[in-house]
Amino acid sequence: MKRLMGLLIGIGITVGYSFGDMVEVSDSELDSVYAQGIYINVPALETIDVTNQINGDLDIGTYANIDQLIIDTPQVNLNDSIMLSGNAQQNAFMPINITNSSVNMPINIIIITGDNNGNIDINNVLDAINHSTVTP
Amino acid sequence: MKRKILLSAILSLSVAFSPAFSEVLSDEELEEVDAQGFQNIVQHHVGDLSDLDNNMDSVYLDEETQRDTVATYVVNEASSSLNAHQNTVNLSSGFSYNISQTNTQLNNQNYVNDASGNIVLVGNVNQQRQIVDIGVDIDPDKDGIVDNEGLITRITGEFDNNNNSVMMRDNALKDSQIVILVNSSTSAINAGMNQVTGGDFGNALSQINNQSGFNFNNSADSTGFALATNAEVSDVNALDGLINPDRQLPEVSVPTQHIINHFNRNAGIDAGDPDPGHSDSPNNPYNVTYIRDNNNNNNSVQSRDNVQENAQSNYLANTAKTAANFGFNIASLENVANLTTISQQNTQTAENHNNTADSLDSTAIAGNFNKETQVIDNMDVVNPIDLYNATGIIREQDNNNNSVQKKDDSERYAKVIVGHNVAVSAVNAGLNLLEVASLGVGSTVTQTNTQTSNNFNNTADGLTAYAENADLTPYKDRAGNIIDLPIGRMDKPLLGPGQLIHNVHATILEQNNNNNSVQLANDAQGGSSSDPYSFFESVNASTSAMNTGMNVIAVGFPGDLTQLFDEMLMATGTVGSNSITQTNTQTAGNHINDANATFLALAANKNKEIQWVDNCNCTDIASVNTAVLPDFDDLGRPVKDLLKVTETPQQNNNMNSVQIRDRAQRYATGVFMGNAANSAVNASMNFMTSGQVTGTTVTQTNNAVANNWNNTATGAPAIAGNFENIAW
Repeated sequence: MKRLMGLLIGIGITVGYSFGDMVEVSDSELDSVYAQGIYINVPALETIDVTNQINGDLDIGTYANIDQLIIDTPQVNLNDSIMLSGNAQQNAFMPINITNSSVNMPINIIIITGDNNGNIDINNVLDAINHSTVTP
Repeated sequence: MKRKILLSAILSLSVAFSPAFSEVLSDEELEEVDAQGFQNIVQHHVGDLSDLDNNMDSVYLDEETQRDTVATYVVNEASSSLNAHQNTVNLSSGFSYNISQTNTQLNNQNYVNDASGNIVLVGNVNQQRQIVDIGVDIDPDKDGIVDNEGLITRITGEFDNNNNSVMMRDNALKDSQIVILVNSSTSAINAGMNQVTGGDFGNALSQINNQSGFNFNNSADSTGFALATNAEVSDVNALDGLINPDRQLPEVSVPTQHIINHFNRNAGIDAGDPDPGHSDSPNNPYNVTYIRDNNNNNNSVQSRDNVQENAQSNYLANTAKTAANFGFNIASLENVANLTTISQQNTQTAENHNNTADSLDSTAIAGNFNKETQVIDNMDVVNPIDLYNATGIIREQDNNNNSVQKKDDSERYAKVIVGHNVAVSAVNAGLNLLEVASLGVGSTVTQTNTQTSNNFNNTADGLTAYAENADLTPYKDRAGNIIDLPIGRMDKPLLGPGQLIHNVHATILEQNNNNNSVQLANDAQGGSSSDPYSFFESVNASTSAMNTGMNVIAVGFPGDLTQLFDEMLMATGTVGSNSITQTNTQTAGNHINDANATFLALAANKNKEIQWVDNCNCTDIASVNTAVLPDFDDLGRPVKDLLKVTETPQQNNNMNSVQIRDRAQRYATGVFMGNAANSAVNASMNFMTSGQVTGTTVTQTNNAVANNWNNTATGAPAIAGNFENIAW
């Protein structure tokens, strides 16, 4: 148990959950922070060695495939993102596209086309918390 | 009998904590436990397969299933619980008595465990795992000599693997007209409708939906050790790793869905191969695996082709791993007499994968472990590092993990009051619609939506306390080796990936990888300007908590309510001296952890947001260049015809994302449209429109709390946060 607690505390300090104090984080420490919300994609084209690739293709060319596209590989990578394209989504009274978020969307509408001598009382109490360490 | 064994097995885990429970199970008994909810498909094959569909706790509709169905209720469900009821009153003329309509749906519990005692361990363990392994078996007689070489193995039709999912394809439910339509896998659903239509009305009208849906909730209350969990682990011994005080990592990787598209050649085991493992010898021709259409759904909703196209429903729900409530009150009347009371209420609680562990004097652990992981291997899995060993061609592959994917023409032109396409979420929809010609003096109108949705929330309270959602295990191959991803991709093992896609030595024309995402493509939920996809409320959500509360009062509105928001100023009905109250009270909590301890308190989401897509440089996202292919394979079949594909290649990788493309939702028209991933959402509306108003008090109130990925810990020490790629 002791060993684990040490580990947890160590990580807590590194990433800034250190209970109130401001801690300056060194570059080397920051290196270990990158993994928050990690998204790893290794597209074929980034790592291509064209020479090797041709060799590889020839190796297997006796039997199959491989038409390596060097440009315009139609690849879409979205991380915590919204993408609308190609005449997508047009109408709604209350449209909402969200990721990794806290959203409150209140709407109050009162329409009185004739005379009005009454009272109107509108109340909105909203509380949105996202990716936090707080007590609501 | 099995249940009893499972309980015994879980109790045996407490050996580490209390000698009093040192019941030891035999290996045979443990094997029984491990097999709970476990599907393992091995299909090694040479030649052609047409369709191969593997479904585990899933709803799968294809071809012409339920097409043109006209019904009040249609429910297709797997491992789910559902309440659906509708109350309808039609008044042909004036009516001056009381009408009361109530749906009480409070005890909807699906995979819910609750226990108390001295040492308590409750949960759903190893309920939901699917492994599918296909490809060429090079050595079917296991004599160590390669028998199959130079062959093309093809799956020329559908190759669909569904785990805890809803998948629909072809013309399923097309042109259907169903009042309440629910397709659900591993979900708890309540649907309640109250409807009154007619002429003049007086006295009292009450419409109530009171609904609670609990899905995969666990509660452990103990004086000693307390564990409440949903977990997928290799066997119960691995679970012991999770609850061990030293918190060692479980030793065996268990993605909930593992698809192995096995491109295999000789892997160097052919003794006659002059250069084992390489392909430069003309004596070593290749086996080619060709897969035309592969859909892999884990905790997901996928619809494609013409599914539900032109469908009409009041409630159309496709859900996976979800708790959902639908409450709908509608009253459409003429003149309302003086002193009439009208009340419309929806009170809804949706809870999904929430755990509570309470220990008086020991450790409390509440969590979801390894619940939502998908691994797709398009590769030579025997020797993944050898890039020159095998080859595969995949024309189209969709990999959905905790996601909603709608494509092609699915739900095009559909008309719904409420549409839910939801994966791994807790959602509430409450609608109160009141349409009258006039409201008499002294009447009281109350519309209320009170909604709570909680998704993947954990609470632990003990001397030490862990409240967490975690994907903990490193990914291992079938031989049990931790995969160091090949050739310089990463210098350390990947810990707990939610979705891991290996494309090694493959040519892939189109691949969509969705992790905790919503993807709408092609004309899904689309339509035309004259025939749109229309809705009052349309929700596509993954790993989210969402409440939608709508209160509408229209007095003297000449059209039908679908036109309400286009023609807001048309109402002319009079309102006497009245009290009108519209209220939405909403709480949405998603991935909330709370740990409270004397000593260590840990509240965390760990490794929950990792997507790894590995396209090695031996892989192409491309069409197949048939020019390099031989004319015939070793079976004498024409290779170029077998493998030719010509469409535009593409790969979409979505993590925690919403992707809407290619005319999806085009011309869609309605009131609330929500597309959400990994979020907490409250949408509320109070709407009143009328003509002249005299002495009336109108009160509209929205109270909303949206709480997303929020962790709180109290202890010494206390750790709270969201962490990725960590080992503890």
